[in-house]
Amino acid sequence: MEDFKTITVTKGEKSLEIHNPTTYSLIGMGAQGAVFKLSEDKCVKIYSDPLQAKMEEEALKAGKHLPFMPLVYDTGPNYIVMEYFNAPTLKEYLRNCTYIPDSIVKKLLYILKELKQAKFTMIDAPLRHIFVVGNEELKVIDHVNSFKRMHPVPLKLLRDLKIILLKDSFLAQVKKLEPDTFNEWEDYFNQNSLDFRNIPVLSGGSGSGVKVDSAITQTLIGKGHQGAVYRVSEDTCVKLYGKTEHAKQEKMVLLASQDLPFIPKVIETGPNYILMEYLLGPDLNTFLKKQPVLSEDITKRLLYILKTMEKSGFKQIDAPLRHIIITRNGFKLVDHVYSFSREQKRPLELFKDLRERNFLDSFLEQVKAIDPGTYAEWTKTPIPLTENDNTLV
Amino acid sequence: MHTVMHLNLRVDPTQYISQIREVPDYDYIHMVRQPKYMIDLSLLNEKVHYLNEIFSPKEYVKRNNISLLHAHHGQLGMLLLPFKEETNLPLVTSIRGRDATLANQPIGYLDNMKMLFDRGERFFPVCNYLADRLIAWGCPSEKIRVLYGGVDLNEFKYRTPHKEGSQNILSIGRLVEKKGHHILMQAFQKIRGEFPNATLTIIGRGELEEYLISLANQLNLGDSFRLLNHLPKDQVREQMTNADIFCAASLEAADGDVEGIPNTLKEAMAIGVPVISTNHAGIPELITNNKEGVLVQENNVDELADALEFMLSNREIWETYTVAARQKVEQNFNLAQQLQQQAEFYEELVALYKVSKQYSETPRQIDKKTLKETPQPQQQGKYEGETIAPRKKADLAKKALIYMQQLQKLQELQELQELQELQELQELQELQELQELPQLPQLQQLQQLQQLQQLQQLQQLQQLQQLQQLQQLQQLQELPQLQQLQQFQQLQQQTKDKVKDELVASNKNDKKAKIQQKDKGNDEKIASRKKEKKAQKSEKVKKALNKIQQFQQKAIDGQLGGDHGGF
Repeated sequence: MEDFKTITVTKGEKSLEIHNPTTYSLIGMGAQGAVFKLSEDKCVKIYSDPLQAKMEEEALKAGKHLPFMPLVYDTGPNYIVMEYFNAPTLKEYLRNCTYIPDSIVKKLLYILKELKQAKFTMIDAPLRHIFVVGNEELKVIDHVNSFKRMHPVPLKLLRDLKIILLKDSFLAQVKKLEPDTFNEWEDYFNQNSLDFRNIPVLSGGSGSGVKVDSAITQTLIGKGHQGAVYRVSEDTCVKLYGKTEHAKQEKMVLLASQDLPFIPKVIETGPNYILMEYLLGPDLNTFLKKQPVLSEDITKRLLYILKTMEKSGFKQIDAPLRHIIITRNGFKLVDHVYSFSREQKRPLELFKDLRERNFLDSFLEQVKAIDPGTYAEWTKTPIPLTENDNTLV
Repeated sequence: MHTVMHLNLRVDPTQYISQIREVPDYDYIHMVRQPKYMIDLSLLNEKVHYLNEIFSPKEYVKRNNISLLHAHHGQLGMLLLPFKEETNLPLVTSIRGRDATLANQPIGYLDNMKMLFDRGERFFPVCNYLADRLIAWGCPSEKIRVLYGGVDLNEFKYRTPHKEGSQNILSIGRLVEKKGHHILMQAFQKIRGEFPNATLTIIGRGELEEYLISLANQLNLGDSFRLLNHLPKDQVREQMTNADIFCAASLEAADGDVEGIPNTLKEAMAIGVPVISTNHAGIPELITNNKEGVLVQENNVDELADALEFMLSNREIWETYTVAARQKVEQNFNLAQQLQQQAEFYEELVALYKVSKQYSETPRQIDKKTLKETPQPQQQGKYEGETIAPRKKADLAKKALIYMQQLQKLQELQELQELQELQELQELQELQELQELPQLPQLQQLQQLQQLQQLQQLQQLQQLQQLQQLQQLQQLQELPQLQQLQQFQQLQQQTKDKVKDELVASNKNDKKAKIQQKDKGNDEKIASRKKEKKAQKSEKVKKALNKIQQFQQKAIDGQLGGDHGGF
């Protein structure tokens, strides 16, 4: 038998670096380690940090009696050999389902209850860590943080269920099956409701995004390098910034441009937040994925936004597809932190995005017909194919 | 004006937009599950909303003044159940071909459908065939209203069939198994020798594209065959207008997927293209063989080839088909009329619901209860007077009358339920009667509605007991074995359809007089039985009945232009 101990997993710059001289196949990789399949029923998880191996080993030991825990066959300083489940995850199992079956709800509640009883602090699991084996039996993997993170309420589970539109039917059944649990969760969410006027968002340093309190993830819309956006009410959302400087920059742009139809309306501002209208609709990238052709209507709307920015003194003339929201009041462009500060004359990110959707050629062709001057401006020098590449279109 | 919150799959011109946006007298909200399902800019307006973005259902309903929920697929009905529970609004679910198959469905589908049957107020299957499936799955028949999809007759204008010249056969539909394109292609290949100038065009996109192209090569169809991928709507219509024969070779797919009634078939019939199709799903409700077109057995290459040959060789009779076909579409599949019908089905439910609100009950409770208790006419009148005042009074009265008649019918069904024990003997006799009835086709023509109605109830209430009775009868009357038992059950389902059709028909204004007469006749027929029943009935029900009659009278007065009390 080959020795899996010859496999090494180390932390690389962006993700884990794996050296695998064996023929064991890699079946999963996360932030902490990588998993290799050893046989039909065994796999090994190899950790980059021995401390995390220890943490998971302890959690698996503490939950040894629980039927949904994977069996452990062997442990070492940086690895655990455990049961391998050749089965769909709960996310896959529930695919296309529009009402979560009561059998699943009961099993999930049982798991949560047992985790609580076993004194785990993380009473939670994302859907991708739950497997559905024969007889619809559930198995839960990844217990590294079981005694570290505090999730008295299944935040990840609920957030995942919300994404696949099953949260409401899940909660409706929890309310009936275990009203006490339901109330407990509700109290938790009420206590942890977002007080955006009084919340610190810590910048995660360069490149690693913003850290947000996991207790309020239920209303999180999205997060990026500069901030995180939360839904506040039916029509409003708040963007919280890690650095007040970023808040200041974006505030300036937005407030100076409130008369432009594609700029989101600002309702209130603070040192590290901006409360603004919540934009309902698909982003343009999502929308274009479903379109067989690029309509001239869309090209005109994009052109209008870019030309208006130019006329209104914006320095960064760009409109990435994912930052354009198609609302019932027209296209809206979000994320303006650098609009007044970064000099950029051609919408390079838009070009890149359109190329990805295979629409760049038709876009440029249409621009050429509608506004030959702009077309000439844009194509005077070749449009770079990638950020580092200067190849012609 | 009431607002209906519609949930459909996508904001997309192919997704029955008129059933959402053009229902007379009903405002709409066009909801889709998530923003990514908004895929057509020209349909985006301030009434397009996203289900996953609703912050608080209660607040949302209040703010948008919603009175009714309408999900346009079974799965979407399930998805709305938590929303419905939260907001206490009545829920209508449309049932299309895809919903009535267990093939390729997500986990728990059938159980969830059953839950939906229990909690939802109304189901609108797109044909009787699907209605039967729902009933077989356990949907209470009183919650079912068949709502055919309609064709816009202004858009699809009639032209006389081409008298001579080309022999172009057209078929339109997604390239999936149930559309039967592969059968049509094989049938076409069989007739090519005899009709060398005939062509076959298929318009559609889908997973079977590669397979169909290789099949065409295999069959050596050459230039006589065209597969057009995706054409804009007006070009599809043009193709249809230019076609000589339209064919829909629909069949039940290996995985059980079925059709409802293909819309393209209705459209071809509206235009005046002679049609050939199959005995599949709801298609026989649209086409009677040799009347509005030619029907063959599904999944049968030889029969389909014969039909093609027959059509191509008998050009002179095309017009008899197309005239009858256009007439059929005008009568039962006319968009404007079907939308009116939809509005009337809503009306019925909204009225029930409002009454229930006055009693502060949930619509679900009242839906069961209204069968026993009739709403207070005064209250009902007052309510309608307050909120639907701008509408024409006579129209309103007419609707109320129809609604009350329906209620009464439903009530009669309920009475039957209550009396089941006492009626065992009588039922036995009726069973015998039914078995003495002629075979299936003749039975379909029978107008003995009341009897059939009773049988229908019987089946629901006493299936087990009935089976025993049947077995005895079979022995007595030398009825053939299981097969006929099944046939018998089929007959009973058809009788159900009849009853249902009757209810549907009673909604139609143009048929109103006829129905009234029929009701009268029915009343007489069952008078003797009723007497017996009434003796058993509670005082409450009696009072309610009287009130209906009073109300009915008032409504008639209103219709005649006289005093109509609360309206």
